[in-house]
Amino acid sequence: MEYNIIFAGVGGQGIITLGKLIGAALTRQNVNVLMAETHGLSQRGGSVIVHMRIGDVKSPLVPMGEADLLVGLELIEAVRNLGFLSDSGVKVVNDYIIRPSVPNVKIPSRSDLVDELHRTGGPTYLARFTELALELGNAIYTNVIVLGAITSLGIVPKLTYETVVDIVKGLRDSENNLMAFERGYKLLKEVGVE
Amino acid sequence: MEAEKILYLLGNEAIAYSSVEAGLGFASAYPGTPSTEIVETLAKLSKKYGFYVEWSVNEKVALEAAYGAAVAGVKSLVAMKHVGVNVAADPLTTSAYTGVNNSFVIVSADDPSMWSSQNEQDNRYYGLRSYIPVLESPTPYHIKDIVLEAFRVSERFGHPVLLRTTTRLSHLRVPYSFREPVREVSPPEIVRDPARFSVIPAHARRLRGDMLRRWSRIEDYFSSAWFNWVEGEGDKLVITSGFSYSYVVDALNRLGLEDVKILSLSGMIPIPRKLIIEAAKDVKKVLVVEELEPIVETHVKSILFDEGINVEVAGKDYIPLVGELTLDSVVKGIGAWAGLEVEKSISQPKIDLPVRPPAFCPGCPHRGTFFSLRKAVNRSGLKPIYSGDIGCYSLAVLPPFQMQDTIVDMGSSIGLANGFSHVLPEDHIVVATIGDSTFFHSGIPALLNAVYNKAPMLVVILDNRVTAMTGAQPHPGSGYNINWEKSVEVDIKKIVEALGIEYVIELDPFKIRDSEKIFKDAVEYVKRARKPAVVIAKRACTLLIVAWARRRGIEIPIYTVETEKCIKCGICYNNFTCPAIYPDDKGIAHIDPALCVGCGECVDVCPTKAFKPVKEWSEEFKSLWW
Repeated sequence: MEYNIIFAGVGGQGIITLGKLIGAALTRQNVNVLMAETHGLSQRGGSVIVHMRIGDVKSPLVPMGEADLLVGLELIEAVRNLGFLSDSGVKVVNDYIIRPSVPNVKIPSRSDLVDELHRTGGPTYLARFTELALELGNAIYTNVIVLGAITSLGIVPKLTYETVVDIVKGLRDSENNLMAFERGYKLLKEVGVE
Repeated sequence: MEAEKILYLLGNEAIAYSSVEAGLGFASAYPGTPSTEIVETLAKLSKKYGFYVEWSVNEKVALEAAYGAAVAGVKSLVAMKHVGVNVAADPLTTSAYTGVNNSFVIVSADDPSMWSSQNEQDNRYYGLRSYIPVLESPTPYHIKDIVLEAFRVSERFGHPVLLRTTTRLSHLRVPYSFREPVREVSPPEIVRDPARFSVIPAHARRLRGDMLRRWSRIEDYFSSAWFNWVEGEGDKLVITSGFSYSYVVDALNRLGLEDVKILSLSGMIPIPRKLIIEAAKDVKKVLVVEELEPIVETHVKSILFDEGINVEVAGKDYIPLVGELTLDSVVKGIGAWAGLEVEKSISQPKIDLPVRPPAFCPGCPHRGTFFSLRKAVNRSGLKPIYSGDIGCYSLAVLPPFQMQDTIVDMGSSIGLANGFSHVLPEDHIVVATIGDSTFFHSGIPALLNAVYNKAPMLVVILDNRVTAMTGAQPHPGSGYNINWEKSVEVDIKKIVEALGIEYVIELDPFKIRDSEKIFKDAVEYVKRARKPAVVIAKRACTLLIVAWARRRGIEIPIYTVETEKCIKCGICYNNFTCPAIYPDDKGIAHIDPALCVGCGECVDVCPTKAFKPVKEWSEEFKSLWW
């Protein structure tokens, strides 16, 4: 068994925490799960990718074209990393754009980015996760809402509702985080696949 | 005794937990990516398991402190990034001459691909050139075994051991089974033995012979120890060094190559000569797969030549010399070596995507400092050269600031400025920018040199109260020790004055207009007096303050734009580039409430005063800054 996930986003969005929560949940299930973080010298603002490999493997980086799941916390970063996705790879993407802090930067339109998403791999689940987090009071809940959405798809081996809830309960601010998780868990049934 | 606990740990955390299991008594480090979390984790465990841990002021001091503890008979560890070993190379080298009285493990966290470093030097060379054995985990699942082995080898031979890790190994996460250690604490005692530990020439000549004899015994051990092994059968041999084993195993599975045997060397220095001869004598060809430099490859070639074993040995012909290995690059390399076609087409986006380099955080005091400094320098009419340094402020190398013309190593800002200021004509202004932690690390001697030799330069010390880039560790100026318990708070201004600087002044980077005036005066002083001046831009790391506020439930202030006042000049989003400020289609500025942390720097930046607070700073929020 081998299952590969790429998480992509912007430093500060809680992408490493998202990976950690999934890794911790799978560890409880006695699954071999490796996670690798690739980011540069700064803590914030730059592109961040997290690789996750589940199963009988030893090296932690997902080969190009072999991710079964791409989780994008930001549209530009999701599109930037489509090359990792396999032909049937699933996409769970936050409908949210963060402008790079670069003078006079030109950013592609939302519709061009969404078209690119559809051009590669398998089904796309696109939702306004950050907007929902702000409704819950803070953008920091984005990643836990996404965690709920991923869990609800039932595609990551052994990532069950019960185990993940158990992990989320152990977080600081667990009441709000559980609410965020439940919101995400129900969400994709509402928006459906695009 | 408690049963084993399964944890999901960062590689660096696993190194820390394993060291505790090994019976660690002393740990020290200067923070540096990708090594920081080792000693940071040890700090969290230190109270429960009863050992000493500290942030030292630089790697040389950190290494000497741990070396001292090991001479006094205590199991010790020192951790640093690869370039930190350069700083500590002097005592490191001689520690192999004297040896130690208990385990002394030096962790070198190398950074292939230079994710957060100025070079990708391969520190296995330090082992080779200093007669210090090198161990590196072959897989994520072997970290504990290799760390325990490092402590054992060091204790058994009374010799330092270099435990090498890399960004990939340090910053992966893996299930880890922690066994509560049974700690036997025997009180250390110092055996005064100057014939061994005072390395005057007469002693050193004898010690070198002793060291070489130890080295030969260690080499014998490395040829028979469990951590160097042969697996599989075939007439082709792949030799791996440390973590490259993981890539090779995954690559061979993927390629379906079955007639290949692997010699896995987790202890590759000293080179286990007998093992290499044994593994290579009956194969048709050999490939060495190692990250960065061809160290094992060169030795294998030389050993087989000496032994008259005529077999083709390849290495860097197939495996990249630059950057970290990936499963893709190793599959490609082994495939080509074995004569297999390996091609892969990857879909590329059809639209242009903007690059997203890291940027100063929203509310970062450095943004304000560089903004006001640039204005003051530009208005002086002098030609600037900005001598930069290692820290978050290195990001000012990028647009819109472009105010880091040189960045070389820790402390190099004032160091190189000592040269610039004596050779550039008087229509220039030399500006050295250095962080607080970097100033303590190695800026002080360089500034003393500038005073002594009357080097005209403006030194800006960006004091954000912590070692911010590596995740906000306290340092001598913070007033706290490694566990955030109150300690001495060393005053940078007093140090600067004591060094003999006559012009020194502090400013608050959030007050842009006031700061510009202070920089203007300081530039004029340097021009007039032809001596160094120091400005200390003092304001705590906003990221840390915001994290503290969140943890304590203190509301974070937010600003907004009075859009009717916005004249679309773009200064805030193009020249100041706060990530929380973005333009709409018409060029009118807006603030993203998900990113704004209410620093208020934008107020002075805007020519029409269009920014105003939505939520003001509470007394509680103010009290967090120090």
